[in-house]
Amino acid sequence: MIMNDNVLKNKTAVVTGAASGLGLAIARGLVDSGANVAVVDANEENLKRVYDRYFQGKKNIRILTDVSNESQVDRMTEMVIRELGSIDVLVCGAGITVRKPTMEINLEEFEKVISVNLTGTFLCCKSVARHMLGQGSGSIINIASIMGHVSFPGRPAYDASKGGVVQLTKTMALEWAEQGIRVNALCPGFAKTELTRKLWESKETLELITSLTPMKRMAEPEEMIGAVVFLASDNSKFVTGSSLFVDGGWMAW
Amino acid sequence: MVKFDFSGKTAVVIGGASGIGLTLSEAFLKSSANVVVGDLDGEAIQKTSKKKLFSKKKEKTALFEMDATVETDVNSIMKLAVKKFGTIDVLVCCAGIASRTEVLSLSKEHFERVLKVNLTSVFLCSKEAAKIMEKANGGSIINISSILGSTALPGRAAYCASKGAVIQLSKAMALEWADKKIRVNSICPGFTETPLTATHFENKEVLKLIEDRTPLKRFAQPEEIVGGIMFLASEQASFITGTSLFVDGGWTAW
Repeated sequence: MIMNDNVLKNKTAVVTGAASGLGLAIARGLVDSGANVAVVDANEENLKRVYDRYFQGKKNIRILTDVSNESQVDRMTEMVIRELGSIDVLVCGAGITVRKPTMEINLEEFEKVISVNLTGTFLCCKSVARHMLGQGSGSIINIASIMGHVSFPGRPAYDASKGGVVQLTKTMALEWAEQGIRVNALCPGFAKTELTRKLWESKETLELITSLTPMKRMAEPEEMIGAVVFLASDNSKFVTGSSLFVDGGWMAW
Repeated sequence: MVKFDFSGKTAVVIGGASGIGLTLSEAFLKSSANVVVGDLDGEAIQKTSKKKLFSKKKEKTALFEMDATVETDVNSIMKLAVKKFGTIDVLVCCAGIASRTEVLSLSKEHFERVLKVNLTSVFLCSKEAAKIMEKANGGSIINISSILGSTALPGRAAYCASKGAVIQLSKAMALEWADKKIRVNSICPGFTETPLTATHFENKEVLKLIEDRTPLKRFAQPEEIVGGIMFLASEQASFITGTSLFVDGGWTAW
């Protein structure tokens, strides 16, 4: 880490979708930056496995939560406050995708993606911000995507959900600006994760993606950490309502 | 502000003797970088060189009076940086002038002057620095645009046009140099308390208008812009290129 290792010392962070992919890399990065982290995921097996492997033995906790379920989300928030004392940083990283064109995706699949990616973000932000408003400070980072700003054929639900996250982020940033809560969206390009395994395991798709990325490669999940730590820290005190692109130049053309 | 570690790195800061540029030059020094400051204002250069931090770290600094719109001056400062420190890892283009004139009273000369200082300087400096960076291990270029590079305000046409062009120029260079490991990004500050905006503080009406329009209800401090620049300059932004980082207190969210 080039930034001071302890930039988030004594801060408490909640990361949803933390048992795999970008969420996992981010949660580990936050721990490296000195934060106590509540590792939240809906997949019990993965959650237990990564917790035991990376987070145990420090002031971190794990909470099984379906972010699209309001009572589970509220219970999660209460548990973090009870166990760790406060919440300074929230990273909404829980996300799923269904790669089917509009004519093939059915209502159930569409709604499932929206409910996790968008409604889940809404519920977590609302639940945690209620606490942050009380303390008069906090930084929320929602993991959107380049696909929240531009699109790609074949994933209508995902792209719609991420566009929704970008706009929801702005609304919340405006509503809570004067109460000391900053809300920003992180917009990664294609990153090498479980969610995208099918893409990078296919030579043809990988070539298409890398050829469309000016940097000619996919991101490593760890390359999101710096941006999240920046947005979580006082280094970004004047940054709110914005989208930070970590996309290897995708949006530049 | 959080400290970064830029030991062994060399940063060139154009417009680095006042405003955001000066705060940035100091932050780079505090983060152990070698810093080459270029500025048009000879007096500001003198003043900067006498600052405690600069005199204490003399071997890590070079100050150079230069006009970033003049190609030979730009060549000279880049050469100076290479001669003194071996290479250039980071270039930040902060040189800029304000322009508060409505289009109907805006002369061609004034318009071209603003474009020259705010835009041509970025083109010249980025081009020269990139020639050096491509021979080394790449680098990071950060150009100071503005919220007015993406949204406009009446009465500032030349400024808005120049800053919009900086965003687009940064993208074009990012694409051209992506395979040379040179990242190019722009940073878009909202209204920041600097000498450039000092007149806004004399006019209560304008001040209130700007504060009301800003969701965070205040001007930014230079340190708050510098945090974003340092992040983009660092290895932590290794997958970030061709983008604009808005440090605007929420200005562009509505």
